[in-house]
Amino acid sequence: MIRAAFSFVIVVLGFVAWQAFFDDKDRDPNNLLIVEVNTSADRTGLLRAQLDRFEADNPGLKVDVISLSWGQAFEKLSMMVAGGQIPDVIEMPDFWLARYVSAGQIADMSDFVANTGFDDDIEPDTFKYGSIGDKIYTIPYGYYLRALLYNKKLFARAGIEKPPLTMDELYQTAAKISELPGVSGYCHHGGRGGAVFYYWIMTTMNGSNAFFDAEGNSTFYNQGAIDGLTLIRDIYKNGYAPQDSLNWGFNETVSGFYSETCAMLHQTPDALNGLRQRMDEGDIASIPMPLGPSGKSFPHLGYIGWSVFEQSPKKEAAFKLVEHLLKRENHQEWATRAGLVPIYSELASEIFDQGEIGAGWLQSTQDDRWDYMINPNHLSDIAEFDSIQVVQSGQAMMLGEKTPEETAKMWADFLTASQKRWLNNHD
Amino acid sequence: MIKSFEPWLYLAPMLLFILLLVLVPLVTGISYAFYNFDLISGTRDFVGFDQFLRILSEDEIFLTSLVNTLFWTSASLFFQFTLGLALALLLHNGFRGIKFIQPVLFVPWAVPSFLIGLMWVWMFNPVTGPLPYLFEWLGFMDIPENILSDPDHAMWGPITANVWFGIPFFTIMLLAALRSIPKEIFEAASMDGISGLKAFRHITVPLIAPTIIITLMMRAIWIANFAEIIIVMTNGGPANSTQIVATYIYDTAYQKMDFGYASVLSIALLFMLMIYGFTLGHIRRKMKVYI
Repeated sequence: MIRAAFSFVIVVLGFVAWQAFFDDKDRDPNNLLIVEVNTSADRTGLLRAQLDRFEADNPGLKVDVISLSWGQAFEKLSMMVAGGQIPDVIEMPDFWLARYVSAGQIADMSDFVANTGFDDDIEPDTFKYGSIGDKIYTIPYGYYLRALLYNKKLFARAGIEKPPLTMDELYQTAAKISELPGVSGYCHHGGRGGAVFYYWIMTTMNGSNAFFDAEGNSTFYNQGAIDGLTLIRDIYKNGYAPQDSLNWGFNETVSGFYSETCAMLHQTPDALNGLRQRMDEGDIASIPMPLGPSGKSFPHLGYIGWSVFEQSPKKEAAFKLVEHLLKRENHQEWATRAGLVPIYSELASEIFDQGEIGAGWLQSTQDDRWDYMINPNHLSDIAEFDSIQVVQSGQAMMLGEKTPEETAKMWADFLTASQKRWLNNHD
Repeated sequence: MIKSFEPWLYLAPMLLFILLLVLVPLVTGISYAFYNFDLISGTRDFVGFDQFLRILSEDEIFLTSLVNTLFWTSASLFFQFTLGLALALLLHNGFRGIKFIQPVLFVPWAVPSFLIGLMWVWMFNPVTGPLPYLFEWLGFMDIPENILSDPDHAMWGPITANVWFGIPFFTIMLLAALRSIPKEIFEAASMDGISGLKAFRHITVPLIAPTIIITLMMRAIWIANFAEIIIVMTNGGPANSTQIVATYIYDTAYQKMDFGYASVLSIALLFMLMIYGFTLGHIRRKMKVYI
């Protein structure tokens, strides 16, 4: 019996060792490797379908996919790279880009872009957004734009006739809705991923989407930025946002909205997938983010793009794959699935719902009162600042442990130091 | 002379195996503390003791997480131990239906910690769980709220989940110790007129004390290093109010990707746990052994 058990253990260990040694055997080293970092089953299915078409168009080229889940993607990709498993093409979120570029891992795509015949109606800023200095390191495959979703049924119950257009109206509307029993006005995103809400309110109250002046000083020192933080702090302090929204991430804000815990939600269009499944579509509508005192608003525009690794031995083929994925028909399919703002100007009206659900995003892209706020993604430490320091100190401010002035100054000090370092290195 | 070496020769393969498996990773991990890593570019710069100075002079979160670790460990340990002991005594005395209930009581120990975290997050959530309404009914709250968002009480959330998870460990260990006490001792004591609470205090406790010391030591070290439940339930928030050293190490290593400083934090935690372990080990050696 014992001998049988030992034999079994040895066989299992042998199998594990064999798997470890020949892990890559299934993957032909001649194949391209693409890594996606924001994975879901239907999204991976769509990507695979587009890759199959690429393989059909390019006999002899095969593409393997590694799908990482969003929550652990950064650490897993870093481990892959550190372990020498270098992908050819990588799905690159905007706030990772500077880290990988400063480490010399990402290929300059400038020549590729110059020699590739992208359509004329591609948004001219597309290549600018994916650049650091004067080099293009990633090409966005679409934009995650923020708008304000609201629950029409709760608005009607609270006797509110029109959604908020300005910051003052946002505050008053949140207060009025919170008079309903068990409902809060605003779904605050206080956990990871919430930094861009603070940035929106600070830049909008400042009346400019600039993060820095010419000397590299942060605009968060300005009174407008402090007023913005005071406004959101007051919304929370006065009970117009759910108490536990302090810890909410993306999923919690969406579930808070569909469970009618709160009535207004600042989110990207990918929130609609979950909302449509659980709510009556007639109860959902969107508006652009409220305007600040200057009459303008700067909703956050995030992006994820396709980049090529510098160490890829098949760079030409990798560039060809990026070109294929960004072709108009593939891009339309891709952007429609996630509700992304497309990189082709003419596609926006086809992608966004023409009804009330898509109205907020559509108006944000077409009305001059709304301009975009882009994170300072060129700073190599912005990812950890957004996901850790801003979240923790934002929570401390909401709880009254720090004042809006102290919080704005703390963030401004960090950003100023980081920007000045960057300016010194890029003289 | 040769004879005195002989046993070591026999032991050598296993000692070498232990050295490779335990000491090499430990020393490698400690050596990280002297480097500033950039995992993505694969570069590392020797920085000497700079990162040790940072922990002592600049890092406010470390101090907060240290105080939180003490609270998290002691509160979890206290409730796990007292409730585990009570349950062990109950099971030892026996009652109707014990054969059915005993295996059920050990179920929490088998549940994966991430699932436990998720389960208790739902329990504390006013939308999905009953606890906020129970607290309101008991008069602890004016309205049903999520304690995980309240910095003054948030730590009680993960502690509750941890106590639920850890009680079976103490029950199993202490039940085994109780069952190992010879019945004759109680019979003799009974003939001398000692029973009930007196017997528990003067016979049971001294005889299971060595097990208590060992289990307390092991469990305290596990709890201090146990980050999963907190990561799932609060991720160290709100505003670091549930940040313990173990979660801070995780954040530093896998969110900031700062493996060098994470190693410094790990060394600090290791050092404190070693002091605790040696102290308890010393007490254990000084204790009288009755059986």
